[in-house]
Amino acid sequence: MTAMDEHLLEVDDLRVEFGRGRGTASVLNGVSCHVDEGETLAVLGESGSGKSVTAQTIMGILDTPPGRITGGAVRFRGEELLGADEERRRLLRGESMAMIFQDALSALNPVYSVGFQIAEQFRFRRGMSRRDAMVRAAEMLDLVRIPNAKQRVKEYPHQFSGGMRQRAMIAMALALDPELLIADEPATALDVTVQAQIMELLDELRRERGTGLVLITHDLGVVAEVADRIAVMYAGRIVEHADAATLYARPGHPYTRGLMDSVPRVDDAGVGGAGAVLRPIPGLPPSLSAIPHGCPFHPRCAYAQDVCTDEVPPLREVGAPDHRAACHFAEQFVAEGPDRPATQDVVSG
Amino acid sequence: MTDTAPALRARGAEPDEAAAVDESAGRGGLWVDGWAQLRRRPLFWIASTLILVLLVMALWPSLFTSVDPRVADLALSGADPSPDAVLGRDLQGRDIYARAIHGAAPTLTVGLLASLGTVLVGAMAGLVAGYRGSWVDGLVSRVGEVFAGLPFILGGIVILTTFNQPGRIVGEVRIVTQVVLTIVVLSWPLAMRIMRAAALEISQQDYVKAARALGAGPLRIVGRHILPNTLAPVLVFATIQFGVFIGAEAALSFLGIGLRDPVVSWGVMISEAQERVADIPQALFFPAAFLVVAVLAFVMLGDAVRDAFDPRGR
Amino acid sequence: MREPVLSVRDLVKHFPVTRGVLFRRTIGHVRAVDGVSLDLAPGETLGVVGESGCGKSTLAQVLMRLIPPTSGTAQFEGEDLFAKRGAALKAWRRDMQIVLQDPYTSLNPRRTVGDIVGEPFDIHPEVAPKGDRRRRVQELLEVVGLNPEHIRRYPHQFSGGQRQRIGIARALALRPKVIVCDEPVSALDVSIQAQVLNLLSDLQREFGLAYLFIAHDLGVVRHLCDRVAVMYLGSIVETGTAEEIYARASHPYTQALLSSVPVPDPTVRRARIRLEGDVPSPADPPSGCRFRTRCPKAQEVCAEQPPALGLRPGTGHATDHPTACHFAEPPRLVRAE
Repeated sequence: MTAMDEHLLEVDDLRVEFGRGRGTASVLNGVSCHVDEGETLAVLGESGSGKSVTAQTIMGILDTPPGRITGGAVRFRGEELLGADEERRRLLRGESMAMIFQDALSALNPVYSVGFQIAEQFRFRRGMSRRDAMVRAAEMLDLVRIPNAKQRVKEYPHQFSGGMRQRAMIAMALALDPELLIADEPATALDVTVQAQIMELLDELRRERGTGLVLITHDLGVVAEVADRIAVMYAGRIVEHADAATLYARPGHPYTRGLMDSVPRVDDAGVGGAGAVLRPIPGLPPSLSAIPHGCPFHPRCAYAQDVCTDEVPPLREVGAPDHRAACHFAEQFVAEGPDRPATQDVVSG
Repeated sequence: MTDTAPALRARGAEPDEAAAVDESAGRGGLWVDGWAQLRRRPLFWIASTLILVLLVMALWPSLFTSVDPRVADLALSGADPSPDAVLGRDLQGRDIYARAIHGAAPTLTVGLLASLGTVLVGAMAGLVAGYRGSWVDGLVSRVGEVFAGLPFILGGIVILTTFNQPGRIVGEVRIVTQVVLTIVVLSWPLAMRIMRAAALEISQQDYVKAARALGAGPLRIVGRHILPNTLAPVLVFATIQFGVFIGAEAALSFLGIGLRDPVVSWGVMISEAQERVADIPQALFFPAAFLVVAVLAFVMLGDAVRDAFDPRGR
Repeated sequence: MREPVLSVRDLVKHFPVTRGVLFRRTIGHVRAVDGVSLDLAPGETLGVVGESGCGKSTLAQVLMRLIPPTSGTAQFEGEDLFAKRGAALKAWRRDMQIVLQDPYTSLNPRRTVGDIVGEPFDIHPEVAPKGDRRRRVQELLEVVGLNPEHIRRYPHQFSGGQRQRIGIARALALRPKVIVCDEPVSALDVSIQAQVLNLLSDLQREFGLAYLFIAHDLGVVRHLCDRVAVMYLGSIVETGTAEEIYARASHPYTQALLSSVPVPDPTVRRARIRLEGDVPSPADPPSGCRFRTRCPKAQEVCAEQPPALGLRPGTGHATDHPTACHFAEPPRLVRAE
């Protein structure tokens, strides 16, 4: 067992840039987070927030160039990964950490059967015979609740439906029983009924196997259902971090609050209910090659003051333990709760 | 917190994110903007200058040389470069420089006309096939396959020997026309395929759907939406084919069925020089150099034009 | 209900499945739209929801006269829509426009924003005199919340949300009575999506537009729509006001769909109706009720008789809106804290 303060995965002040010269895009600007065994950390963000780059950097599959890691550390059970050689990282990938992608169709090779692709890992990493590996592959398909796994193991990716392919990819990721699973928008491309099945499956497998799960997503609904802790990203920074209940009950960052006010909901609760006016965040996310001075959110923030344009607010503890927000006025937001409009025009009509 | 700055309404509140973008882009439509871009590219000016020189050479060869390219002096066979003949002499003792200058006209005529013809015929067929689809597409594609299936040399021999008895002396205009037509007939399916694929892809795009929903007619859809978006691959194809066609013309000449004496072309010169490369390297080297420069100039021009007419590249 | 501006009856669109290169033969049909009827009143928003492959986008394209219907009728202001030809068809296009899903492929990359938004006036020159067009285009850009100075820019210089606004401006140019919105916000980020949804609401109020709003996101549909039609494998399985659908859904598919949508609130734990498997292929739909292969309530009768869309007073569980299920009943448990 590791020491108490040693996490399964710890990301510390990670910085990544793309390109060089005047057009340099600062994609990650000091991202810190951690995951423990059996827990789900959701990384929530819109496109361009840096959530996928975070996942790729942790896995060591970031394309460099154009990407460039300019600082920080990624520690897996205390072992620093960014400095490790490729041999060691390759060993860890699959054995200790695995990744699920959004697009299962392009993640599976169309010319090999699904079973063959899962079995490959058993053959090359565990030295199993071809036959034994196929038996294990069928077991894995069964584990991800694919009916008739024994028959379907010989089928090709195009013969699987979208939901099935996603299950097959989960089976492949879990084949070597990794301790950490990173899921990058695992259900975004799927229909809502299938999406619910996949999220349920991931949640169950995590609980059964004690896997640490990093869930990268933009969907506030999915996050609310499965996450233990949530990190909200904006312009390459984590702007808020809290356990799920706290974050939804008392968002401390106006961006988090704006996101929640932007989602039209199916149920009665919340601002997005029938007939209500959505309260969108005005403007657009900043270009990563020209992140605004001070708080990166200030041009879109209804509460921005002079201090916001001058100083970058640090991610600091606000109120509850482990609730951190990067806003100069976070305490006030936390005290007010979420039911106050985030933009003022709604109040004035 | 109620005294904070008033919020912007979402409508009309988008910051000017494109402010950093070059403001000179987008003055007045595709052609004007494209020309404005083109004018700023050094590549375009280099290529244009080279092409201009080549054209002058083709139109008024006497500006560059006063030597008759047909005068042969066997006594001087394979002479090295000298003040008398600056690039040396070929096997039959003819002035290579003079021949290269006089060869520009037929070479460029064949290259340009064949490229133009191939692209016009092929692109038109591809556009119609890709846009109309159904049986028109089937018909054009099958006919194209038949022509593409003919080996070039065999097809060339069949066509050209049908019109001319081997060894017969034919006029310059006639033989050039025949060679150009032969090349077009045998090569148009290539351009057709490229255009068809591009047109198929573009006609599936949502902006074509939107235009149809607005009531746009087929001419407008093809002219405004499909053609400008399919031009790039065809343009690249045309510039590359220019070089290929000059080579093809040389191959036909080598077989004795293409351009031939008294017509001089770079292809004819290269094919004549092949037999004695070791003894008279200059007879191969200089026409080849002219050919390379000409091909490069057209490739550069095509490249510059393609980039200039793509707004995304600015 | 007021006299509908658009009235669709028994609309069917089948795509032939063909084999062979030289001699094509038809080996089957994809039943993309299979008997859809709906009415759209002036100024209202009718939402059409369903999962991928349910035929909702095909429906939009047929109604826009982009592809011909296989059978069925549609009336626009009392006139037969599918009989329109030539000048009448072109004139009708001014009344009905479409906003497409993908903001990246719906704008021609080689034309300026001015060209794109002005194209409707080029095609229908009678709407705006030539000298007036530039001003009209700039007005439109302003209406959709874009800087009218940007008339000379190209689409790639705008973000996804801004491009969608350009697409909306183009659809708005001819002052249509109906706009078909085919997944207009599904490609956008949450915060941008809300901006565009609010824009659509504002425009509806300002111009009295009727929307046929096609989407897969049930939250978005609830937010924007007055009435909702739920589609499954080419047919409407349930239709009613937003209130009727979201609070009192009676078709098991609608109920399952609603319960599958995650709610952004960790304190709400809803009972989920779990559907097994995936949507069957529309080329080979199940007999009887299309939904029976995934339905938790399926009985023998479901395989034999396709249930008609209608009120079901006889079942003992009276429903107040049309539904296509032999065993329709109000939801028992939607929510458990």
